[in-house]
Amino acid sequence: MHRDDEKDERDVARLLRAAGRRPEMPGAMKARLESHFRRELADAIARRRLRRRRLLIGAAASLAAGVFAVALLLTPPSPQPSMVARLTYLAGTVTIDGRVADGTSDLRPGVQIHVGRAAALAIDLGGYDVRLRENSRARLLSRGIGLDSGVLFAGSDRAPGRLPGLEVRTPHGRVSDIGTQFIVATNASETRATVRRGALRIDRDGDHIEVASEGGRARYAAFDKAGNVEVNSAPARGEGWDWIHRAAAPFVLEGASAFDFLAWVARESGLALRFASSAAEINARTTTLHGDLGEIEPLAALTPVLLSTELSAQVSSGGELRVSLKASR
Amino acid sequence: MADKTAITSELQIQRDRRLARCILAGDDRALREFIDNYFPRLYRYANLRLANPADVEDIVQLTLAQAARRLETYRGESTLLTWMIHICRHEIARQLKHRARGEDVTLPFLNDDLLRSIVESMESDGQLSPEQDSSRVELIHLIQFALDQLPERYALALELKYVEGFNSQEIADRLSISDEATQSLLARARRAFREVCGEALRTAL
Repeated sequence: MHRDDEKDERDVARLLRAAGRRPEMPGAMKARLESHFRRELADAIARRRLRRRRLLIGAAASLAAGVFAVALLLTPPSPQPSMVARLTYLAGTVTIDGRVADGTSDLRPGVQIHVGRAAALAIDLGGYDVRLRENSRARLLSRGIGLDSGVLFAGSDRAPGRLPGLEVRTPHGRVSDIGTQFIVATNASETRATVRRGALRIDRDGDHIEVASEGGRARYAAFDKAGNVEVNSAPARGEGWDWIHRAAAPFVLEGASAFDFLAWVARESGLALRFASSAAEINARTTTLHGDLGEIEPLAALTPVLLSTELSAQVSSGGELRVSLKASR
Repeated sequence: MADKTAITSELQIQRDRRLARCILAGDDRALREFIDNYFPRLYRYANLRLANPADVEDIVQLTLAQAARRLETYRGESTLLTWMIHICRHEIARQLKHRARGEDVTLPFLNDDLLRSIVESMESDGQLSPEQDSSRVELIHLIQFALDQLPERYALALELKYVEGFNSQEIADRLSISDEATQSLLARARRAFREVCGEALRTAL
């Protein structure tokens, strides 16, 4: 044995001899501790198994949620719901998919509409008031209407952004409203979109223009397939617009308030309704009208209807229908 | 030497990690091994650290309860014994905190100078002073604790050889190994013992 190893062994021997044997753990104590330890361990293992089960259930639920989320991500976005169309006025001969339309006609996307001579049709299309003039052909789309030929009017009293936006497709491009009243007329050579309230957006050939009404004056854009575009001013009432009130249900004057009548006149004429005072508005809301309008046009009906009331109305050059109390004039 | 110690320690940790896994899986043989190997060592450690023998069982029981609850958190950062001793220290500090502050309930480890004088006096036949006698008890505990740090086979071989006075053939018979293997086992055990005792004992020697 090497000298260092000998010293090493001697040192270790000295210590171990001095220390003696390690004391044994008392048997009774060991038994008590073992019993206690086994109980604690059994509880700990039971808790651990419960946790793992919960973890597995949680993991399975998370996995299921993850798979669901991935499936959602991988699934192409579902198209926006189609606009719901509802027939509101029908006059003359109108066919839908070749059948004469009546109050029960199905106005689902894709149907073909033909408005015959001396006929008219009005529908509520997703909150828009859409009217088709005589001799028009159109088809309902999921987000609007396709005008193949003829003339249509569209309008809404709701503020811009409150409706999803109506799209009118013609053979020459796409017209979208931006909170507006407008007419779209299309024939074989061109489409003319005229706006008298708000603005329009016209998309064609990857390009677009916006046309907005100006201070009570209407503006139009005429465009064709060749790419020609003409934008100019147009009258906001009169010829070209007169047909629209005939393509809708007539206003029932009997029992209506003066306010409702004035609002109808303003809407049908592309005007903004303004009251000179709150007293005038209160008076309009509390005045009940009687009688029958007959075939009279909205603006023409103003004077005879208001004659029996305390209200008077004027059309301003800025495109407003201003209403005031006669006493305050 | 340091490398060999590290390797030994790593092997021990691997064994301990496996043992803990088996216990948690409900393996009763692993649990029996744990109880037989670690309960006495933990008891001796508590016995070493506590001045009042009456506290030993309470502390060991609290330590084992904590060990049972936390066994699944054992990741093998240290040996299982070191891990349990860590818990035991914490329990000693926690359980005895409410006792009078002036009362010293734990025993300090020896310092190097005292250790040297004690080792020398341990083998002398002369009368020990009360202080020397107290320190002698501490040293005995320290050595026994050092043995507990070793693999049980090492500790048993050293005890049989140097405390009981068995020769290597007798040890070989007890351990059911060859005489040559016993010599080798004793050499490894001595080295491990010196390593575990550390620099303090080396200086004392």
